[in-house]
Order: sequence, then C-alpha cells, then structure tokens
Amino acid sequence: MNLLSFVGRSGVRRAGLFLTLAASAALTLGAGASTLALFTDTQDSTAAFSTGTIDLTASPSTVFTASGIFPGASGSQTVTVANAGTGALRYAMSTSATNADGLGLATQLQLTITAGTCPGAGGPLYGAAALGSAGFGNAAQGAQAGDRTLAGAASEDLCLAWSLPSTTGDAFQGAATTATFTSAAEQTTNNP
Amino acid sequence: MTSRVVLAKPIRALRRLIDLAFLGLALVVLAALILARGIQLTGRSTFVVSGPSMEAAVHQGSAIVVEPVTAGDIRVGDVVTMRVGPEQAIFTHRVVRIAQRPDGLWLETKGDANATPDPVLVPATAVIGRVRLTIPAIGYVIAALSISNGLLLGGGLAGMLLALVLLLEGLETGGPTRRREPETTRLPGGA
Repeated sequence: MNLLSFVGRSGVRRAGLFLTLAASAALTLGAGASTLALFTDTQDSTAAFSTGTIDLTASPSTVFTASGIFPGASGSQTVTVANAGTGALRYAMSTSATNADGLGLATQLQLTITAGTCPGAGGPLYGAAALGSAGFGNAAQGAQAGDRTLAGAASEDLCLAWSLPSTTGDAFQGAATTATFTSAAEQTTNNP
Repeated sequence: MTSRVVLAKPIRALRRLIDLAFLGLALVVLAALILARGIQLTGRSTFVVSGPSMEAAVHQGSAIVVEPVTAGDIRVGDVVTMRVGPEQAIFTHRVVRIAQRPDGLWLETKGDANATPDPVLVPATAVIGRVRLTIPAIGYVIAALSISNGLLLGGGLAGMLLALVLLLEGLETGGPTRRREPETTRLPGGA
C-alpha cells in the first residue's frame, strides 16, 4: 500500500486531510499573534465592578410648611429620593425636631412614611407615630432592617403624611416645631 | 478463510467510523479557527465565555460573536460585552436599565444567572459590542487551541486517528497479497 492509495481510498479521508491542511495553515499563519480569543467573565463580578460613586439627594428640600393649624388637620407630600451616582447605595432616614417652647408638639404631631407617590402603597415604613422620632433603617454601617437600597442613577418616591390628632388638647395651643429629615447613605459594594 | 470474511465487515465499518471522526475533528478545529481569526475580518469580535453568570442564555464555554454598537442603539434586554473597572475586565451581561446622566448614557447590567444586578453602572462607552451569535462548547476548543498543550492534543488525536485507519485498512485487505499461478492445462502426450 502506498501513500497515494491510502489518501485516495476514501473521499471522507481526502476531505479530512484537506481540512487538516487548511487548519494547520491557518494556525501557522496566526502563530506569534496574540491569543486566539479574549475571555469574558473571568473575574468575580463584585470585585471587577469596583469603581463608582454614590450621591444621595432628596427633594423637595422643604417638605411641609403648616402654620395656624387646628387639631384634626393633616397633609402629605411626596419626597423623591435619588441616587445621582453610579454605584448602588443603601440609606436610612431619621428625624430631629426642635422643641424651643417645651410644649412637645413634635411628639404630638403624627407622621406616616409610605413607599411610593402619595398616598403611597403597601405597609407604612414608619408610623403613624410621633413626628420627632420618624425614620426607618439604621445609619450604622451594614445592612439593617428597614434600610432601603437605590441603584445608580435611580430614584424612588416616599410619601410623608402628617396629622395633628383631633384629641390634641389646649396645652398645645401656640406650639411650634421644626423637623429636619436626614437621610444617610452608604455604598453596598463590598459592604454587605 | 472464513474468519477473515467474518472480520472484514466490522473492520470496514470501524475504519469508516474513524475516517468520519477524523473529518469531524478537522471540521471542529477549522470552525474554531474561523471564529477566532476569520470573524475579525468582518469587523466583529469573538470572545470565549469563561463564566456561568449568563446561564442559560449563554453557556459557559460558548463562543460569542460580538458586533460593535453605538450607545444610542443599545436597548434593555440586549446582551452586551463591556470592559469594566480599573483592570478593564471583560464582562458579558444583559442590559436591564438604561440611565441618562448629565455625563452621558449609563447601563445597569445583570448576569441572567445572578440574583442581583451588577453593583455599579457601566458607561455606554465601555461597551465593546452587542452579542449577535452564541455557539455553545466551541469556546473550549478555541481556548485549547490557544495553548501549546491543546495544539499537541489536537495534533496527537489527528495522528492517532490516521494511524488507526492505516492499521485497519491493512487488516481489511487481508494481509500480504498472494500471487496466483495462472492455471495451466497439461495436454496429454508430448509437445
């Protein structure tokens, strides 16, 4: 048996040998060039997506102004909380209220915080309970109950609804308070 | 004699099978090379998927052909390949949200098999292109051909198959051929 008869005996073999020749030529011609293909997803994604910004904003900056109100009055405002950064963040809210006249109006006023545009949807995130203690989540580092998350360039609405109970007594006449809502954010990347 | 006849058919069948296997091997290697080298001539790029984050749409070990795309043409649901982070690692994930920021378009991406989206948005400028074609398993072949051990394996396999075929053909034809004496008829009497 000679080489020619070995090659020529089978059409399938001829095709196979021809393709092997073509493949070897392609490999030889490409030799010395960079690797044949680049690899995608070689790293753990959390480690790779590591550079970003977080930037929490809330608007409107003045949520309510109510003056000369009587027991039974109420009001609400939709607050838009936004992350203007590129990385996901986690935030908590807390309130500090003044009590210059010592009448404790901040404790008497009730606040309810609900997710979504007013009137909001789902169970309350806070309340109805004292305005002065209003908030959700925990500003301490790490994920705690009540903390809310916002992806980069995302926003959400919260409904803040206040009321002065109709049972409010004469002791609160002329009372005033200023409440400041503070939202504290932290990154979620590498910070479970 | 009978034993030879009985063996001839299965030997031929095996020989044909190995001829086909050899052809198959050559086809697979050539296909891998066309993907790895030839595709670049069309302006597209081929990548090997080495992670499982896009299962089941894109399997680990697949080769993907990626076509350049302008930022404005990217749509939610597109699977895009992008460079990410300080090390410019290459990732292929699905676009789940497009965000317009003052500094341009940014994408929120997520691997189909991941529970949560990727932790940081990616600028649309980091996108290499959109996945147009996914071919399972051949990524492994491309990766193998990229290393010397893989080339050795391929070459060795091809050589082995050819040697096997040569051996089997020898057995098929039944060993060394015997010259037969032409039949002579002796006539009675003298010449």
